[in-house]
Amino acid sequence: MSVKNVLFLVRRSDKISIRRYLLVARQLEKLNIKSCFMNISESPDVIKETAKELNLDMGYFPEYGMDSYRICRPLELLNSFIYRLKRTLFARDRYAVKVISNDVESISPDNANFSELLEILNFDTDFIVTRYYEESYPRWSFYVKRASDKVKQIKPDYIVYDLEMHSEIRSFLYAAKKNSVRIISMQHGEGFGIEYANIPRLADYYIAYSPWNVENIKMLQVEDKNIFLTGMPDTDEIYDYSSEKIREEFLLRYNLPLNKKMILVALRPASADGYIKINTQLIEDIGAVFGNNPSYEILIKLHNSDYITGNRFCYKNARYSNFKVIDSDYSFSKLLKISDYMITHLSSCVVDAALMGVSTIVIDFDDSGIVPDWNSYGVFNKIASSRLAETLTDIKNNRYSFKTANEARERFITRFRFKYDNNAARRIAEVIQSCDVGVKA
Amino acid sequence: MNTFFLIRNEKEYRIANNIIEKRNQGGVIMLSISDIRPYLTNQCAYLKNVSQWEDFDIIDLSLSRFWLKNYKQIEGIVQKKAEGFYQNEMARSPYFILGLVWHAGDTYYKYIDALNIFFKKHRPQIVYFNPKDNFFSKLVISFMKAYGTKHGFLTL
Repeated sequence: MSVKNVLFLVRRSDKISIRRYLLVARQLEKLNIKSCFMNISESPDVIKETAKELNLDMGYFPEYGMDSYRICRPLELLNSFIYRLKRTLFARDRYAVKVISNDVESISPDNANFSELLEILNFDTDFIVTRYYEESYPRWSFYVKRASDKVKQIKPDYIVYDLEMHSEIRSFLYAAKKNSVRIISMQHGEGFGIEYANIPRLADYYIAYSPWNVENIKMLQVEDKNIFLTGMPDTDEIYDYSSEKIREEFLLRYNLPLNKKMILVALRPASADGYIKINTQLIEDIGAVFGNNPSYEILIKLHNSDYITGNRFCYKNARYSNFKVIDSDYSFSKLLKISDYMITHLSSCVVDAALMGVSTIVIDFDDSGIVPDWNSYGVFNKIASSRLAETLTDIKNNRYSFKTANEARERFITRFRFKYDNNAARRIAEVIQSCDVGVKA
Repeated sequence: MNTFFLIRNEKEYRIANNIIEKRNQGGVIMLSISDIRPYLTNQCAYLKNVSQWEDFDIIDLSLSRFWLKNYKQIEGIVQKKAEGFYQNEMARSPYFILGLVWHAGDTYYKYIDALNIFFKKHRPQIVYFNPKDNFFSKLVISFMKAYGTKHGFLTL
């Protein structure tokens, strides 16, 4: 089959995903394959802005085609309003549990499995199943209908998506299946971790960013022939970066001359109270040691998904003259290129830092997520949050020794980024061109 | 004797302290709760002698990915029910069911799991708290009944 047309789905995707899509689209263009972006519930400007940041030629957008799929917005708002109203007026959640009456002999919950525990507690699963249907199904079937119309209109050979969490995306994937359009998953972030092992397989093909990612995709019972190890397109973006050019660009955007020691502080997403709390604490701790210090510039980088929530109220305490809050959409890799050190909680940015050779302090924090075995390579310094003040003081006094495990760093990069050769996006484009042939992971 | 006070605000905190003082109860533990998700919060942890849920093996539930880690288990529970109720193929597809699993896990089950960890490990003998007519209060009461915990009210 000759591939002519690929449709990329965007719905609350963070800018990393949009960048990846665009880098792949540029390579597809070279193979004479058209890319189309279906921007669900977002402004199409997000894609245009990202293309501009990547210095991609905007001229080809009209012929590539870019569609917006915002019809669901009013319905979404209405639905959300009705949901909240019902919730407030009737507190319907209370019906989910029927308190056990005193005269019923209680069964011991000690050795009960989760199902049995629900029974012991008199939890009404029927209630949540029927309620979910009542509230979500009308919207779902509406989305499917609209998605089906779009699929028939655009007639893509493949549909590419990054996040399966949103019902708009899943309804689109369902419509694609029903219309015999094959689905490619370009996972968000680092790709599926161990936690995703049990979710259903929604795509026909999976792009894997690293050998670590391949292992996790296999846990979804995806056949080897449908997994394509390509590397991560983000690494192409930083391959040719020149520090000088970034400094010029940075000066223009933030009016900051970069003649001081730069410490990059990468925050967690401001989407949950727990993260806001640790972000706020981190800024406060760094401020106590480096606040107003004329020799250091502290770059507070908002998480790349924060542009969606627009949430930055918690960073009011970044009030020092030498603290600069960097927008969520600014390229993280560019910041790494001009930074001397990075301080962060454990997240995938430690891999980017290793790739760019930036010394990193990672603050230990249990967010209940299962992270890859990043720590075992010894490429960053991991410390308890209680030791942060002491560590920062040592850095300030040039007494701190950062880990410099070069050999381990190579192995680390290979395991979590596959290759750093400016060809990841090209490999993905070639995979899309030849999915039928199959390239084994 | 494991006595716990679940308080929502400073008013309940004062009542709890009065009860503790009057009954000369030592070794009691105060924790804060909320009637909105994530329910087991530390909003009163700034007050003297109010503990944090983390000290009782409950992490910040706003960050929990319980539904993802226990996907199969939750799917097993809700799908059985959904099969009886969801008549059309579109609603039975994994594309729709994923949303249901997320909803069940993130809105309800993760709190059940967290409270079970708490009750199982710390075996409270008395829990003082003022229930309201909402999901969280009913859940706590159900747990107390299941674990044979006595209930005290926060009244003067």
